[in-house]
Amino acid sequence: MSGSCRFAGKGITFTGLDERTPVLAIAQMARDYPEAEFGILWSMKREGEAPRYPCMNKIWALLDLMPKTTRLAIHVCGRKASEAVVRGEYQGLLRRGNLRIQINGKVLPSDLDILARNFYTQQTIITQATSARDILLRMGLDNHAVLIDRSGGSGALPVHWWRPDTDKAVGFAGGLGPETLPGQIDAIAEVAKPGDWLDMETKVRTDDWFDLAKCREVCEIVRQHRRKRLTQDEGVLDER
Amino acid sequence: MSDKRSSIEEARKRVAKGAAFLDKMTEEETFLKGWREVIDRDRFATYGEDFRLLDTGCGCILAQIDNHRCPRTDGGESIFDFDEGGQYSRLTVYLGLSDLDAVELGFERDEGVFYRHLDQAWIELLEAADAKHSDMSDRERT
Repeated sequence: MSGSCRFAGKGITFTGLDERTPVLAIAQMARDYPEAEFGILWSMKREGEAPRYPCMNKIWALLDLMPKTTRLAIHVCGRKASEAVVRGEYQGLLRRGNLRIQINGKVLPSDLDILARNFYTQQTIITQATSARDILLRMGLDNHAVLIDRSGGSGALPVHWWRPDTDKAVGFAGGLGPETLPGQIDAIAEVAKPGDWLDMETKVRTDDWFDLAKCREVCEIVRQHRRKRLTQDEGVLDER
Repeated sequence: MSDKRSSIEEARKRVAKGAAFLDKMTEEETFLKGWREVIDRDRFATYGEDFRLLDTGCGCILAQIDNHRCPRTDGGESIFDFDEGGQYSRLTVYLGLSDLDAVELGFERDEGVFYRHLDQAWIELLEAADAKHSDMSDRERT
């Protein structure tokens, strides 16, 4: 068992920044926990409908106000926004240096090719993998990563955690948060590889508002887990 | 008539709260210091009654205050160019205000209190501050 901990806890994406998220506190948290990435949901259809879908003006504002070093992701939701991105619209917004662009929903290989090779060569494009046979997993793109998420923001935990056989970085999402992560992190660590990340949304909210205290709690859980596994590994090495 | 009166009264209440909020935030955010002085009252009228212009979503007072005075969180300058509606959003995001919060603080309209009511209330508040300031200056001279 020891030595099988391949999840380095390198990245934890907290998705769903909203209008009330204090940007100065986010900037501070990014300094305290460089492993944290903050995700903004963008849906043309649902913007303004719920706090987690800020309107476009506020997305521009969030991306503008954050320090350049803060790790940010934008999650493009719905057909309308996805199609706009594939058409090459909003490049002024999305070409922010360290941004990762996640397309939620179906992405055609030709669309991924255009996004990763033409429009966003300096950014990472994330697509969702629903099966190990997903055709996008076979595309040789260095700036392509995949997310495993059956919950779609519903907060439901998966029956089991799986990882497609790929060299691409993989994100694990679905029902994770400070309350559920302690019971799931070992199982995720068993299948994860270095460079993989965790993504959470619904369970880091309180009254549907993004809750930074919960995000900090998650970072501490992951760090604690990492320390524990490192100690176990050292113990086994000593025995050898 | 009574609706009109209640709307302006409500606007005054909200605007007083908004001014108190900005004053309080001035303690933490130095860029807000002297926010009253940067407001161009003539620009309120540009938006107040013309609903075609309201498409910009400009709450105006925050847009004017932001106007690139609000720094990025790393102290750098703005990456993007914002129009006035964008500046309003930029400052609300910086201050952590939702649209509902902005309504309560007299920065944004709702179904009962329109921009014209808010404009009037903000102008009254700024004029009252001017009068107080002028009165204090007179006393200092005498």
